[in-house]
Amino acid sequence: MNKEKIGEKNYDLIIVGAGPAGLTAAVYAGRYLLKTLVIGELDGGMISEAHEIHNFPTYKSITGIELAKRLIEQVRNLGVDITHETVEEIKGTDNNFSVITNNDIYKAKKIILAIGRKKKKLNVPGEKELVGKGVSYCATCDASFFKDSIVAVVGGSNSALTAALLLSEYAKKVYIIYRGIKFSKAEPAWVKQVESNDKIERVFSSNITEIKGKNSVEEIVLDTGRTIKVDGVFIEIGSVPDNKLANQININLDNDYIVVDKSQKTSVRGVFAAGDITNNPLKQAITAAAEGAIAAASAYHEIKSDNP
Amino acid sequence: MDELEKIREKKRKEFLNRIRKTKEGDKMETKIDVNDSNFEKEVIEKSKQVPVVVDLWAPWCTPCLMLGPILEKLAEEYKGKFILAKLNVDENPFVSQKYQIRSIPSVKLFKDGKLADAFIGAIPEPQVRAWITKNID
Repeated sequence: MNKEKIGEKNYDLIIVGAGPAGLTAAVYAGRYLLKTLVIGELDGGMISEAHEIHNFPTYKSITGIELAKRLIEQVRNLGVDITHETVEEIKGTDNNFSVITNNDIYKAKKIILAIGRKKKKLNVPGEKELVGKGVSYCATCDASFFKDSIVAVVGGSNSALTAALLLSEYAKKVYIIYRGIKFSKAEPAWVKQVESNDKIERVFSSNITEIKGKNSVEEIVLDTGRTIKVDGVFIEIGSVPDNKLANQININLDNDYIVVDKSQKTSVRGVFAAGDITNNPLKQAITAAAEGAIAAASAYHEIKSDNP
Repeated sequence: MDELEKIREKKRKEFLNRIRKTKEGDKMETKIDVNDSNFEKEVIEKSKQVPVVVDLWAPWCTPCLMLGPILEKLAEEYKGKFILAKLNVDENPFVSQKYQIRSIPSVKLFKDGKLADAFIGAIPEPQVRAWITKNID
């Protein structure tokens, strides 16, 4: 009957995730002539949100969007399919995996998980309700809406400090709310700039317990008992691995990150992982790409040895 | 024979022109750029005939640049069942203030002259599609 249609959904390799790790794996898989499908939600993944990247070899500076675009184009040129779906479940075992999306079911011999990380939320009352009404996760996007306002930035990393510095160009007052006693995670150059900025007030050893406001953000409540009147709250508390799929097939994790060996193999045969989701120490576009390449090569060799 | 060829060529050109015009017509109907001064006419008034999805964006906002192509693709796919209206918030402060925009990308759906639904942030294509389908079909 519709055998061809069914046949079309069988792949040698399915790559979940369309960031630098997944897309580089796709480039390698394409050149190995593996029948490959990339399933991703957003082209480029988190890299697309990077304003500028200065440490990707061959580019002095490139925006995340542009890097993602070029990778996508390279993958498509190799004839690898990319589909924009959400993977809901992965089932099965080596050489017989089923990948269930919001739209379809695909079969694969091998899987590469390149599912990256998601931005962390505060998970306090008022946060969800006031998103877009003063609560923001993107200072570059939204800073200009807070001219002459009072805002708070939550976090103590480079991204929190750069967000505060950017906001200080628009807002009349910027609080940085950080749980630590000093900015030990951030680059000293940023810390120095923050310290010498008159508009920025640093609030250490504090966590937000509630964001209050009727129609928009009005006030934050800290666990020290202090309340601060603000018009906006920018949440920059880093990101967490997205390990829902890894848990479904019982892959070993280490602090929520997928444990991989030097071949990017996970504890489940036939499943490889690459990029920010792995327990490798550096989370960068270039290392994600490298892990993707290794994962694809390992998948290729495994397919070859399974089917001599 | 020559005469027949000429007539054929003429007919062929006419046909191609017609197709091209229809295509251009379709495009105009699926995606438009709007601003502070024509918002009332192109969004509010037009939404009384067909739903209008307004994409409030800015060039410096990378999530906006991720979401934009998804909305544009869906607008083309839906062939005029809704109109996608792009509004650059940087150049059009009036609309941004009126709708109290504090976060972009911000997407608002207008139906029968009124704001009917909205979402914020660059959400994945399956979710955008579900949102459009829920509101349009």
